[in-house]
Amino acid sequence: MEEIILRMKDITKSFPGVKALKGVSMELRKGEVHALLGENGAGKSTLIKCLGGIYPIDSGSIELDGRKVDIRTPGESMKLGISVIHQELVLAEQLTVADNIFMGMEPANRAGFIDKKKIFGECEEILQSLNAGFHAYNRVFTLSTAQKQMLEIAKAINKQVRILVMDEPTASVSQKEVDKIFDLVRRLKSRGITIVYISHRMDEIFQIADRITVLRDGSNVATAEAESITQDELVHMMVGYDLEQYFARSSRKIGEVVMKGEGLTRSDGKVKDASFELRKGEIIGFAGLVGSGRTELVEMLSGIVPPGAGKLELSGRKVFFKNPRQALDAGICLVPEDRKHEGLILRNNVRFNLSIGILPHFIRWNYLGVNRRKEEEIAQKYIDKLAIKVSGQQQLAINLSGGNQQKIVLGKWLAASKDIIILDEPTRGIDVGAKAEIYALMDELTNQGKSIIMVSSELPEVINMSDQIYVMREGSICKVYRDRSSFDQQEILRYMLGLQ
Amino acid sequence: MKEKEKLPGSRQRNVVDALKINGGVLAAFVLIFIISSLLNSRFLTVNNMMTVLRTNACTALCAFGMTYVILTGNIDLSVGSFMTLCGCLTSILIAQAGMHTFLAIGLSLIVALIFGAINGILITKMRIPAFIATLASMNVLRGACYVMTNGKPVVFSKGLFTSIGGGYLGIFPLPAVYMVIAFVILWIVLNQTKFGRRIYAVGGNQMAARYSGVNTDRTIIQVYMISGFMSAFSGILLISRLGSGQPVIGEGAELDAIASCVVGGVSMTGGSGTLFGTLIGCLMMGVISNILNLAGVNSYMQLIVKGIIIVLSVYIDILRMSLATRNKN
Repeated sequence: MEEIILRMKDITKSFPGVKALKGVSMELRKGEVHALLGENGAGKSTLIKCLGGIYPIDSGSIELDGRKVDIRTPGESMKLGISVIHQELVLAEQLTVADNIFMGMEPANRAGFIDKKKIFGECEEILQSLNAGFHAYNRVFTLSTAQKQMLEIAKAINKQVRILVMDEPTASVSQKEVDKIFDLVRRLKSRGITIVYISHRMDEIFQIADRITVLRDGSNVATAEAESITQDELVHMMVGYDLEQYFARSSRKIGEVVMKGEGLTRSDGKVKDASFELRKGEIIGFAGLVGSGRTELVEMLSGIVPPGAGKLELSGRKVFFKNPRQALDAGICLVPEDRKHEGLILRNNVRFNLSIGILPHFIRWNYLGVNRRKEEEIAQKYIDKLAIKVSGQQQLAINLSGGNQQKIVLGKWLAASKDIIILDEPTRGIDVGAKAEIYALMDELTNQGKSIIMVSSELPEVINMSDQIYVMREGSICKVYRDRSSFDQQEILRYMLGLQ
Repeated sequence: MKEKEKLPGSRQRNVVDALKINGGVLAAFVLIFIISSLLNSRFLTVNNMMTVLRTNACTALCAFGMTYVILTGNIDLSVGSFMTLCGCLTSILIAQAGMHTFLAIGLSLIVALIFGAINGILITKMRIPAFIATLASMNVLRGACYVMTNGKPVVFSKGLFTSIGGGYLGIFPLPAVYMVIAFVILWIVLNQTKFGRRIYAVGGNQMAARYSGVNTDRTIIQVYMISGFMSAFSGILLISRLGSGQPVIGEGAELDAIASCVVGGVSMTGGSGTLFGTLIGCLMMGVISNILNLAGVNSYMQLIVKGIIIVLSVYIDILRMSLATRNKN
């Protein structure tokens, strides 16, 4: 266990205008799970991209088995037995599992002819050893996110990996599948493979990691044995200050029912007979596994998919949304799960994204003549209000961290002053500090009399933020908790998994 | 359907897979073929079939190269200009420089490879979007051809060169024979070699390919060289068949090639599609225009029909895809 396999010393890396790594050092022991922690923008991704040969380092040294190595391309990194599973999974969706596993290293004879039998045979072998539950000839787009994650692992194993870097492998994976991935990580570890594990989920890190290195602002703060450190200490190291109250909750004044769903059913069968009530000034949480129909339900509420059957009422008035426009006009907005694709216009700037929901507020004369000053005022108001960290209004959304992107999507709807806000996985892929800020913002919104529907896969978040919890499983609501005092994490989990 | 012991990777499975992927376009082709045979007695004759093959062989050759390019997620608009440039260059070398026919053809093909590589370098090393890079080379190469020929046809005498594109092997027109040979070679390269896998990998997800250690730049440069080579060869055949080096040939050839790919089910975003699909797509377009010719429909009308076919075939593909995903759920 004590044998040091990789040593990174004083690594620096700069990008135009930013010094992403300011002399980071890290040591990896053979066969350990080494967690890498830090807020978004702390330099974790840059560090592993240096290790993976995506970015060449500016200065510093990397030693493998005590020998200095020079990693300049993904190919060189791979040859040394280093494999990186990137957060945004990089797979060719149209191709088969086998094609993906052997990509870049297809077994071929000298003339370049590939050996398909060998590819499929070896591929099945690897998949079976991982207990993957899918086959070599499956096309990747038919797999679930967790299965794709396993495919990435299979790909790494096939490359005779010695050091495997996993960047947020559980970011979009449900609890049950997290266990499967953990199981796999432990098995890899027992084979003597060193794993660098990046995650925002504290509980996971304590479950799986042997040692933890914390990065902050491009420098390493500390490396510690997982057993000798507490969660609070970790959070403190990551953000540099104490988080007084992580989940913000003021006493809520809950009013009358503003939205009521009765027997809502989708014609594609993904949601069956869902009923719920949302009152003014409260947060209701939808818990469930990925694919249990939560996202599909809120798609009906926000007009993305009109309901096939059932009734939706707003303050006692029956409504039917054929498209998102109608839902927006009725005061309902959705902050989608996939904020990059569905929530933001990434290649446009912060101001554009903040003001896109309220064009008539600053564009006069029949949509001609932009009042630029007014637009800037509005944008600045929400940048200040939500404490969005931007270099200016002109900064492109694509260059912001996940937390700041989420704040912009939220800000867009705050500017449009909608009464019912639907948040689908509001804190996915966001670091601790930004999470706390989002929670505080949600709390403040309820104080302003707004109502929030939250879909989340993180149980602590659902339990601490919600006033009511609806548990979904296989398209139906299987349990409703109407009262905060009745919330029970273990029981909710059992309902989610169908054990109760 | 019962899934019998079809070993993944076995030949049997390959055939099943290919039928699954190309079933739609193949069915459409057979249907159109049967209808055409019933509608017009002059359609299903050896003579007419050979005409269809001869007139479409050149488009098919370009479309094969285009398939490679599109599979990597790129596009090549300079196909028609490669045809003109290399066709005219060959005829000048033969007629005016007195070069041996094969040497002239070889030289022209080398020129095509070089310009193909330049296309690829513009796109990969200089990061110019493929649409723009090849739009530029389309203009440059056609311009170069006009400069070279002074805009006038290059006349050459009947001989070896004219028989290369205009000759027959038994009853089969030579261009059709080249088409079959090219199809077989390119099919093997695409399906049985490392290079072929990498073409799909680059188009399927360029980032994934790069992170997996595939030299994506080199793959893209290579497919442009192949596209250039194929279209140049097609241009040489066309000019040989026409009997003079016309600098105006190949106008719009890139669009015909793209249409063949699209009708054949090759995805414009890359990573998905087959060479067989492209072949059927090309032949289908050819059969349709042939039957319209036989029926006396004028060529202006034919353009309209062509456009409608493109829209229809892609729309059917989209319907099939959404149906497939619905079944999955």
